Amino acid sequence: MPDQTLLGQFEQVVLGAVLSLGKNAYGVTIHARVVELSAPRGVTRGAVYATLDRLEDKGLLTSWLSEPAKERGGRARRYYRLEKSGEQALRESAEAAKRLYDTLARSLKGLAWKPLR
Amino acid sequence: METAALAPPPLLEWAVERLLPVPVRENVMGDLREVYRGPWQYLREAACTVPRVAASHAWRNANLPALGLNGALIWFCLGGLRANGEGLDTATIALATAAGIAALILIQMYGDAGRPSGARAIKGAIWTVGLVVLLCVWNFGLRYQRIGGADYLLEFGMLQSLPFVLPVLGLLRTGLLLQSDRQAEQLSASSPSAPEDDYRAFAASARRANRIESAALIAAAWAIPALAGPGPWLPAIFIVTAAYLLAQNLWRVEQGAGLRSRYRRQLQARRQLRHFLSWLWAAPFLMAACRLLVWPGYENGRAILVALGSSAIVSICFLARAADSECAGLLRERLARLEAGPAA
Repeated sequence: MPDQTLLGQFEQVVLGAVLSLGKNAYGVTIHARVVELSAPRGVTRGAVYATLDRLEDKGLLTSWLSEPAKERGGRARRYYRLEKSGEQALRESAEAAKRLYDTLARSLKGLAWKPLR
Repeated sequence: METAALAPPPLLEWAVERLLPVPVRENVMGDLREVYRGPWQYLREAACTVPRVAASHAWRNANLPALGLNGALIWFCLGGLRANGEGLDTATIALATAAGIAALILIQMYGDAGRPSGARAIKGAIWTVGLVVLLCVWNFGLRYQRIGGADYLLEFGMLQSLPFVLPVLGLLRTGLLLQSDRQAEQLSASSPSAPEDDYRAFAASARRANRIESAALIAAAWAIPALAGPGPWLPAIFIVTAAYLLAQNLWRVEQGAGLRSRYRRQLQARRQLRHFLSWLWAAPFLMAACRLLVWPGYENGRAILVALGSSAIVSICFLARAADSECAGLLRERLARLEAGPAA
């Protein structure tokens, strides 16, 4: 049985987006943040929904519907929040990325951390 | 976030909504509306969103054992692996089974799973009786009817008695409606409890129902040959289904997935299982109607038997569908209850 907390690259981005948005994490804002984090690659809304579903199935996220909102034609928002296991998975992914970066920085000359902005 | 008064053309919005699976319509349609900038942008967004969302939903919520059992039921009811080689050929049966499974997946994604109102339920009964009358008139007008034969006078008597089918069907339908009304009341009266409590109560009642129904399925498997004929396949499906229900009670998926997600998926899986069970219970009666009434009627030129058989088939289908829609509606109410509150 594969480890449910092993994250793919895109899953890390989506989980990171949900974490950074805090209480305002729903479809529209998550997609906008994922596009921002994945630049210059484009990301479709459908890919974000499918990944959110998968992460929820893994137990890393939880979701619920809000009250209907007028500006959405009376439709509810589905809000997402990280579970403890999601935070842990994200932490492990970040540590693994850090180790990889450190290894590459030692081997590849000229590799330097450049913040996006 | 821009919240301009821009809104997609109603027809376009309606069309996109119809393409989305029912459980995700609320949030996805809202998101698409929120980012609306113009019809072309809306269409592009919908084209990039709907197929992925539909495929993801279908895959995540497919109850594969229930679909497999459904496939087996369709296959054997159409005469798959028949010893004497009469009737439909294997390729046709395989094609019909595949089409049946595809249709089931689509029904589960797009079918309106809400409980019908009393008026709608009774309208359904009236339409069913209308169809029964049409079938009778059609059958009496067919060539195999021997004028002046054994059923010549009976047919008029039967046509006159048809209106009395309506109260019977209406009564049965109302009984189903009242029973699920009572269950819905119990559900809403059981306090706005935490999802954990709801889930525990749901799991306990599902396990209880599984135990009772598996015992009933095993008992029914012995009685089936009297109704559906001597073939071993339908009793075998009953036994396998009983074993599957009992296995569900033993196999608890507690670890891994979060509670809400697990509960949501179990509700969806339960809905598909109930759908299958409604039709499984109907299958022996449908086969009996064909075996004892319709086919002998055709062979012996007795319109009354064909008319009775086809009326029985329509009525059984009506009741199976009614039982299924009541159960699906209750599960949907549970789902709505789960979705309503924020996570603790």
